Amino acid sequence: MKYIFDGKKFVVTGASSGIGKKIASDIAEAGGSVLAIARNEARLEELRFSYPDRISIASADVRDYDAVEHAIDIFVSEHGKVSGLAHVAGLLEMTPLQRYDEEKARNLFDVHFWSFGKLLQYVNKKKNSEDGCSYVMISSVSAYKGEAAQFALSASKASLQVMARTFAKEIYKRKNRINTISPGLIMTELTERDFDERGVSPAIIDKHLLGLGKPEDVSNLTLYLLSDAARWITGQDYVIDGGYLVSD
Amino acid sequence: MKFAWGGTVLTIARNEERLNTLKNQFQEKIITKPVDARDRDALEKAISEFVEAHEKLNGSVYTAEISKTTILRSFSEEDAKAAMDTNYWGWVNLMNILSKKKYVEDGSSHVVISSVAAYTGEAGSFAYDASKSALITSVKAFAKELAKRKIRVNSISPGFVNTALSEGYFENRGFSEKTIEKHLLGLGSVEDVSGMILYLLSDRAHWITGSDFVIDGGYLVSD
Repeated sequence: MKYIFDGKKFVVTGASSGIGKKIASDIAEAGGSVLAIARNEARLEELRFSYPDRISIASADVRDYDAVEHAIDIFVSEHGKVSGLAHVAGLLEMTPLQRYDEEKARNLFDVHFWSFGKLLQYVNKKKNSEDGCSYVMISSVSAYKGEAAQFALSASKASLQVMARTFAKEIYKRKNRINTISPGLIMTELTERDFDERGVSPAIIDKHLLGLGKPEDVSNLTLYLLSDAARWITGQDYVIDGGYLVSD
Repeated sequence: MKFAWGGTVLTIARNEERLNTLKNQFQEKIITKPVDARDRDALEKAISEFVEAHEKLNGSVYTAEISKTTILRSFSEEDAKAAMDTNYWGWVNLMNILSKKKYVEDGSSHVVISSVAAYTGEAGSFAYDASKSALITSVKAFAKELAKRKIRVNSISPGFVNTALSEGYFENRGFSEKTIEKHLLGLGSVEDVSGMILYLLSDRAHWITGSDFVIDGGYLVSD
């Protein structure tokens, strides 16, 4: 199966590694143009090097609304209105009830949730987006499970699903759509580093009946939702977890 | 988006005439068998013959359904059971047959069509809605049972799609404008659902199992 995104423009946050990087590369591979947003400039440069004609980069923190909006202004003026947005920017931070750091907990909401609200508000303006736009946010199976020692991560990801259901009703008149994807455990640099530091119980790995996931698994589904093939899908969450949620 | 696979399909339905129309369009890519999905033995015979003549299956799509009005006050048990038999038990039989190694490849993908009605419970259609809800739950059970062979099982829950069946449904049930309007992006087309089915059948979806995919133009989230 092949996606064709010729002439389409997309914004991807968290684009310097893992799932975000794969989504940005896959869109470029399918002929689309991408504004890749992330904090790490060196890694963004690497990404652009692979697709110099297709990928524009903006080294910005998604919590810095002005910087993000400025980057979008430049991208839209150079390339035209966008057809969609993939919000992947994410942090992995433990917040055990007994000793969580409030600043860290709030920061998870800032990066996952609040940054997306403002981003969508800006991108969804008529001057910045085509009609029939598709927005995808990466939620998590933890939104369903509520993982121990991860209340803030789980809740911030759950909030994104509610946000999708709400905004779906506010943006449909222009045929714009918004959905979330809830992946199980995906092997990325972020999760691998966490494995090394914290160790992950074999039970959690075993519960992924089809093994752990790869960034491309999530990227494939994201591109499907961004494409016109998904034009009748809005307000939904799609679980892609190798069987994690159904396993015992 | 383009799929490149040119697969061979065993198509099963009761109406032989319509199956032949499909056959004429795709010739050797389509093998037709006029079988009632409730007839387990005929189903297995059709599958067995197909596998013998071709190769093991890479997947299945179960879309057979009947939709009869079953109002609490006045429903016919026969109608209600017919909905459950075709919509749910027919698929259970199919999966039971396809759980045999001789018929399907490891890593195969199986998709069944549920409905948004499994979530809402529409007035006057408890049997249809319950049959669709039963599918979503059993998908999860079978996903667990078949995961060892990397076999995947998922469901799709469409909103109201314009088909020959749903047109009759609208007329029979006198569906309100409100129901139609709740599909924020309009009523769906067959392509909206088939695109997702093909996605789930493809290897791109090789890490997806036990999930339900709602495709409803915003029906479930609307007020």
